[in-house]
Amino acid sequence: MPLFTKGYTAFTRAVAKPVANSSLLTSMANAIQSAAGYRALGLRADDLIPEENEVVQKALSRLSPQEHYDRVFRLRRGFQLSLAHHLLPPHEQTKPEEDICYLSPYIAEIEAENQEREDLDAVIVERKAKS
Amino acid sequence: MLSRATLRSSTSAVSCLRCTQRRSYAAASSASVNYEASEAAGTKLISKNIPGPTSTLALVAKAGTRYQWLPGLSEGLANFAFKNTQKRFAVRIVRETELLGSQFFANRTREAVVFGAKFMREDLPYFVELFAEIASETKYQQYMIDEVINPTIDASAHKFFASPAQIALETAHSVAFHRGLGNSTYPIPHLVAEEVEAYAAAAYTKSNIALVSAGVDPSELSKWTGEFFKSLPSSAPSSLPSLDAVKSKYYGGETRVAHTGGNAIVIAFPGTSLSRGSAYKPEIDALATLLGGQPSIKWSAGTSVLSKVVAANPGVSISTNSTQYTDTGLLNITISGPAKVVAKAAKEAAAAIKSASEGSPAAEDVKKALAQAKFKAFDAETADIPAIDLIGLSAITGTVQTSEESLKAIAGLKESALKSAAKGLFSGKATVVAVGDLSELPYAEELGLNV
Repeated sequence: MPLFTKGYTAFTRAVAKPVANSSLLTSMANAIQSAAGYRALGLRADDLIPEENEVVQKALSRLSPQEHYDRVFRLRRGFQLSLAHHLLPPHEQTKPEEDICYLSPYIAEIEAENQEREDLDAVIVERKAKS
Repeated sequence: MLSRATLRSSTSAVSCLRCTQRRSYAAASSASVNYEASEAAGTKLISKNIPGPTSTLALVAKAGTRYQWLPGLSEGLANFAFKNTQKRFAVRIVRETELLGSQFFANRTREAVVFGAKFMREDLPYFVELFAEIASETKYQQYMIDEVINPTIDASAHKFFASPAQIALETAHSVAFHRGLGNSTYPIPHLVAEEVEAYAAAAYTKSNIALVSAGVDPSELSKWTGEFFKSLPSSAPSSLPSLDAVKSKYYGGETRVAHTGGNAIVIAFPGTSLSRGSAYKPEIDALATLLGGQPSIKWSAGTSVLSKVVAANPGVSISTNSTQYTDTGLLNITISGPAKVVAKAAKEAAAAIKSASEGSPAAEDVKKALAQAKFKAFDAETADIPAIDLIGLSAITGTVQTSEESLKAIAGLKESALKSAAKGLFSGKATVVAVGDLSELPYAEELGLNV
């Protein structure tokens, strides 16, 4: 099962993805994602993906240095806010347009590659008979 | 006991064998130059008709280090061949080619980036499709550089910097040709994927590549190329620098590089352009065999001019090469070994070259050199594709010339031509590079060379 669809982002992604152009559903999805509360801590949806596994670790290693720095900054700020029971002031909270998938494309690619490797390991080769 | 009839038939068989041998020799020398040049979907094709169940196909792009606008781009481009594309992962390409029982290769020279494969004849469509995919749909991902390409580049850089002979030859090129052909080929880590991608867009265009093949049916190749290479752009985006090189000019000079891992001296002179070009000078190739240095028989030093120097200086190794490029060449002599021996051998070698060029070389040596040069040229033609990069480049830069002319030129080379080429050699400007223990290694002036 793809990892990044676990947890409560799954529902909102399922709503937001296939109908990205529908303004009604997009605004609904945004409302739900905002209600989830992570945006108020300055986080992005991709920050919530559990990272304690090989696939996500590999994906993290593929982030650019800037993306990696920003991620660590958001996470540390989020922990601090959570401990202090504070929220960010509204202008510093993550805006819907800032909530981009910076990590999940890498995860999807690694999962696809792993799947491909497994498929190739299990492949049964039949050569076409010469005509 | 053999019956009379068997005997008769066996003698006639022997005579028949002899006559077919004679005939097949003549046929072989003309068959060996049987290249067919054509074009499909704007892509240049060269096929060498050889019978047999296996084929070789290679894509040559005029994008070697000579043309790169940043160091390392050619290296990066060659390393990105057979990696992830828009359609499949690198793992799929590797597994599929393994299942077909084929081998693939990718490398870069000073002038070309070459990638290709050897495979069973019937698998041609798969590889033409794959090559088109690599040329136009490779994903240039930074993580591929960080995870896969950089470690290999690091390893080859280590290997390069541990070899004084390689450093010397590399430096000799930069001293001899400055920019362009003199661009460094040594591997540079820390490439940027976007830069390689831009270079690929300039390199892999219809006007800048050629497909070189051996053992492939030309009509099949042209059919599949027409189908798969359709979408390759015919020219590079105008925002990118062009890959046109300025004509090479020989400068010459001297450079000394300190190195603790060994000693090498390269003495180089202007050489000849590729053997398929109009500016081919067969006498330079013959001169390289006259000077020699490498034995043609195992466990002996050899008998060429420089082999005698090797025999007198145990521990030293000398090799003479006539390195060819599209518009020029470099006749280079590499001397390597322990510092003291190299220093002594270099002086003796310079004296030997001088006496061979200014005096007249022994008639016997000249005869041997001519015979060897001729054999080398013909022997090279028996390979599937001799010098893939040079054949491809000759097709890209101009009309493809068969090697027939050059073989004729080298076969008909006169002793006088070789002698006059040798005469001009020493009077001109030499390129001298010493790498290693500089307190021992001689300067060009001490060798009596004009730099």
